[in-house]
Amino acid sequence: MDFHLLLDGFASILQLNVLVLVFLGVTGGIIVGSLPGLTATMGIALLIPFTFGLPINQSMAMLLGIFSGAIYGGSISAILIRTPGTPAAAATLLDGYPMTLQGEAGRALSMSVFSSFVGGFTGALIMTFLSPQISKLALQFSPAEYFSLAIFGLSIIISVSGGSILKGLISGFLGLLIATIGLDPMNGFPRFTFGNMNLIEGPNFIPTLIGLFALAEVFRGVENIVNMKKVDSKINQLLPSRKDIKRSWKVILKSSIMGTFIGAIPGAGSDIAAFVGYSEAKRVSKNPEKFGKGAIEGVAAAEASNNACTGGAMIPMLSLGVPGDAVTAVLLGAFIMQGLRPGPLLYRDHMDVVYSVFAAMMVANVAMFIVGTLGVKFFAKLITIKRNILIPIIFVLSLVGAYSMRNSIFDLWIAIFFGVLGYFLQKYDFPVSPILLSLILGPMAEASLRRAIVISRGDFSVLITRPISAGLLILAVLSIVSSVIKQQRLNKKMSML
Amino acid sequence: MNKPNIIAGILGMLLSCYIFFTAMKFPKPPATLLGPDFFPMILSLGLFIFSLSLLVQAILKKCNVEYEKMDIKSPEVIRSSMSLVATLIYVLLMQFIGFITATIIYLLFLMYLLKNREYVKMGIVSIVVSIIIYLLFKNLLHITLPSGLLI
Repeated sequence: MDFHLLLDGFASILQLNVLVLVFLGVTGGIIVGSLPGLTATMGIALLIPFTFGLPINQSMAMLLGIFSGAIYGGSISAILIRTPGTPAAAATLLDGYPMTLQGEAGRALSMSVFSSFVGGFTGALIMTFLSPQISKLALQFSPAEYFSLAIFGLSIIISVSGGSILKGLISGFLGLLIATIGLDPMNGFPRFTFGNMNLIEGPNFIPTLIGLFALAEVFRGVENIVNMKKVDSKINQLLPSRKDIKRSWKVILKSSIMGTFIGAIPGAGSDIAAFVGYSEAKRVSKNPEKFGKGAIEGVAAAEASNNACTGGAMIPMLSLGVPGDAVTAVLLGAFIMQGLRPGPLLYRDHMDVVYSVFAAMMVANVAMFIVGTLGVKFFAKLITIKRNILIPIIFVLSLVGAYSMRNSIFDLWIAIFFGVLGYFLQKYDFPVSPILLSLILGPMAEASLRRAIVISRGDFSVLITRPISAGLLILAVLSIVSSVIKQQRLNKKMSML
Repeated sequence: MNKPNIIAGILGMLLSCYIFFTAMKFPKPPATLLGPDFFPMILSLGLFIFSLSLLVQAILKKCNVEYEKMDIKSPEVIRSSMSLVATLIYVLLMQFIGFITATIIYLLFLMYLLKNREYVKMGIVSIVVSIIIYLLFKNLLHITLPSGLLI
């Protein structure tokens, strides 16, 4: 790590206009995160268009603000109305909601924002120290290694596919095939474009994303009109008391570090991190019987680890260009939109950008703490916004976002097409996250495989004779096996709770 | 019988066949290299195998999830298809009558569809939201949304 570069990074973020964007991003992120039904992925997809046209460091600062805010925001609705705003907050409600019932909503919320901040900041710090090392290793990669890396990234499809692995695989292959639409990466031959000039670069990433993750959701939202419960608990405390911090600081620190490393493993998302942090806190607690009945350590552990996960998930995304889950896949897409391809070359050629990402991540967490603490009453009111007002607005925002990418009506049709596709896929339990990962990793896999074969003159054995490449392929196999086992265990755990 | 899985399996197999045979016609590279056809063909094989497995599983009733039959006349399905039709019309309409006017109509319709009957509130929300989005994109992001006869 280079201290000077980090200072430069801070200098590029700590400017009034950038800070305004970070705060706007955090606020937007907390709002979408806290609204049940709006996932962090959907939130980022909806807010990405607002970062176009900004210079790179500003748009990244805003995106990271949205990311951190969204993961924290989920805890607000988890604590107040027992509905996690994002899957990451599912572990938070176990103790958060009982606290609300006991009239301690303020105490739970203040601990949630505090531990989210510590977790997120720790994650950002570890990312700053660790990811440059990983990128150095990755600099020696040849196309063969990149192909194996992409395969390793794709192997996590299994772990993000939820219930049916077969359906996850079908989604993944569908995504890989969608990614082949357009000019092929070596010869420039147009594939599956149906002679349409608009498809020459394939279906644009943002409209596709918005279709699958935002429009598909609102089509479902129209189907089932859900009305939210009223929040009638008083929030009488904005900062955690010294006593509570004393009681949970060990748990917070431990969860922060664990959460970061769980986040760094592709495929293990923030929801898993939160549950792991929670059960670890319960395991070491002197009175584990209080967990689930309103133990503040439970809230602290879950929130610290799921926010730490954001920094952890950034490590493989930034240094290798491989997203660990759906949210980081969206972020990766946003980076590419800005003309920056995350990966070792980014660390070699654009150190300034990399360090401003580190700085932005830390600043975003501070901003999240400030906005989350001061604005919690406002966010608590927003949760209950009527769905029959919110959903129509999301419809418009999705379409506007899809259009704004290239000022193109064609992109609107793309978004609607993928919206309908996503609606049917989700209705019949085909997960959509694998499609997203495939869209990012598919072109990387194809281009690097074909390059590797050119270099080796048609010899496929390079993939297994080069040690790092072989190692990555073994990791891919291990990841498939372990995530199948992990998924089974998690399913058991979820059904027990 | 698990109808959705059977249909999905068949659709997946048809799609993979289409891709495979289309990709076969792609130009061939020199023998030792991989051409534009290689990846789609491999992938379509994968999709074919998994779709076939899904189909076989569904026929053998291996899957224990039961789906409700999609009732085309149920209010839920009517609502979501109405919202899709409205979205399609909205996209066409905004090119002719402009973004703001089309958005106001679209928002009002969707709110009505979602059983909102507070007309004054609906009116205010749809007008304010449309104008804010338009101005935000125009002034802050420098993206002009379609304008037709009106704005």
